[in-house]
Amino acid sequence: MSAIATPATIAAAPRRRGWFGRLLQSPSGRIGLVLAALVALAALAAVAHLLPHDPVEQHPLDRLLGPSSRYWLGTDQFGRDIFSRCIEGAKSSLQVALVAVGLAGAVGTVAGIAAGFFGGVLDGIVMRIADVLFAFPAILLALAIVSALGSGWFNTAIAIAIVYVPIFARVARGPVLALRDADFIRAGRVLGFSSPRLLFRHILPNVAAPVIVQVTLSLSWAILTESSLSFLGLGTQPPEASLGLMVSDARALAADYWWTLAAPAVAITLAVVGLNLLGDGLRDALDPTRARD
Amino acid sequence: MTEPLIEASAQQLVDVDVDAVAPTGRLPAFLRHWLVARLIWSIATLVGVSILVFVILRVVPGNQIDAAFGTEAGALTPAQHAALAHYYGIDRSLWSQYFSWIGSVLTGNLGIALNTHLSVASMTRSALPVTIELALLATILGTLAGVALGLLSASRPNGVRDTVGQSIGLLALSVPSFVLGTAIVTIVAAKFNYFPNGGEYRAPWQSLSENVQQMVFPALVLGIAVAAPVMRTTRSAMIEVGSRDFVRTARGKGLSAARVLFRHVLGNAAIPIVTMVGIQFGYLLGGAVIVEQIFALPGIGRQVLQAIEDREYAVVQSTVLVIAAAFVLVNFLTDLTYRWIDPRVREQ
Repeated sequence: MSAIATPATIAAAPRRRGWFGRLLQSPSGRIGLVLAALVALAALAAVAHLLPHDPVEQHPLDRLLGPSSRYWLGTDQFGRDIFSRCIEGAKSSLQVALVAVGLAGAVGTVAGIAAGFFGGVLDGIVMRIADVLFAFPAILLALAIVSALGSGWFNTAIAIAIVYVPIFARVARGPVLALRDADFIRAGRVLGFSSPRLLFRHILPNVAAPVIVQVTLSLSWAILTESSLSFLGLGTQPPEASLGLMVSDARALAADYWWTLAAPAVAITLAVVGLNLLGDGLRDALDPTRARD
Repeated sequence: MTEPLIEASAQQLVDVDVDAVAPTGRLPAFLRHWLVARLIWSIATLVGVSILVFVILRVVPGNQIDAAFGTEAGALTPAQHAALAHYYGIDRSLWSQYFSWIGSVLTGNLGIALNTHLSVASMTRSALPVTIELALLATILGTLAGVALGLLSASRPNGVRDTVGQSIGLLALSVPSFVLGTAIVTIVAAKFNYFPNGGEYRAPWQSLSENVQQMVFPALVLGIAVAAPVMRTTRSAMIEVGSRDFVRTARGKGLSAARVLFRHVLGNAAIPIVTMVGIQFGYLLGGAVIVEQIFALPGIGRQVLQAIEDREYAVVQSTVLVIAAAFVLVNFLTDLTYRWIDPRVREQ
């Protein structure tokens, strides 16, 4: 509180931790990190084909079996192993989410930084485009774009990316605007630093924190959107495994075979909860004003 | 059709505002200027929206002819093809197509569905009330639950109550609507032999009890989706406002805890909460598509989805434009409410 730190308060202050230490300190950060790591691990297992069963292989004699030691989460209407399909589905969701958020993050952040730093006409154009994209409910815009591009995982990723570009543009532009006239940037200008040097050395590090948080939160929304589109039949197409499609299939089955719905539902929820918690944890950990908490 | 709609509502709002804000007669000048600027901005955004919608649906692989004739389109002679292209108006330049579309939209003609020969305007007239009713119910439920949960969490930050409240909020944020909707439809229907989407949609003035039966579960699912962000906003706003100096002063004056909470803290925390509720309501106008689909409610979102399935691109194009216009309008009203309830703005 007081502006002058007495020797006593300095001695009492805990050791300063890095952002990762602060992330691990908060329960939400810890849980989020574990869940996100689980999802990543599952995706890697699917990529490396380390699954108990082939996710698309049908076992006609083993249809709609409950969870057992052979089929950990039971089987679906074609006798396919639900556990393996959940893992494979998590992989497809994550793949779409990573590509979508990667594209949106790159394009949006660059556009936002450029708009904020150079201002003027460029800022006007970028922000008006963002306004137009913001004038749609997100899922509706994704739906319209996918319907135009056609279904499939890459088109789904493109659609989600277009929806999220303006979010990143705004997130990146805010701090740049605030910093553009900050004293240390002015000092840099006076010292004759070039624009690229000011941008990359002095402004970019300050934009990184909100963008990283936004990436994490956007990944969770992207997984939600991908599975929603797949549920509607517009995202990942059968026979590829997708969590949204599995929920859609379960509509006719869940009343008698609960595991067909429970497994993909829990998988999606865990992934989204994990990324949300990680995003919240990162926001607290990366926020410089809370660094001394 | 959309522009007069917005202008008319803005006109009404000006009237309402004159009564509510400045009983002496005229609106404060700063609010008037803001209103005009915001209105121009909204119309400009809508023009951009219409161009975007038009462009998106022009990227469609194939065209209206393929959509209407399917594989038989290949059997058409070049002359037939040209005649059909002329019939659908797709032989003209993109600019001329765009302006003729916008021209007819502005005169209230949103196009016609090829399959059913119904006009999009009449389809929208019957679908929009369903969506608005659903969105209103969900917003009311979600706001009540979200604000209550947020107040509970904020009453003791980082305590047990807060942890429980935040966990519920996080779960509500993370369980997708389509999962919750599917679970309700399949499990509740099977166990209680109750089918929310069994019959045809009934408007509240046709049969209130049937309407409530049809609306209760979808409104609940969407209400949960609304409650989560409202809860988070309420919690952080209450904690933020509660730590300000004027609250300490109010307590120091000896005001009762309830008066401080409701009048001083909630009065100020209401600003971000109202903004969040407005945003959520806007999202529901087009974002309810999945829940409308699951519960077979003939709302505006389902109209888009059905049109996508039937490859009725004219219907998709105009309906998406209507939804975006409604969304822009709701955001405008939210901004206005925000300005109106913010005591600092009001008393300037």
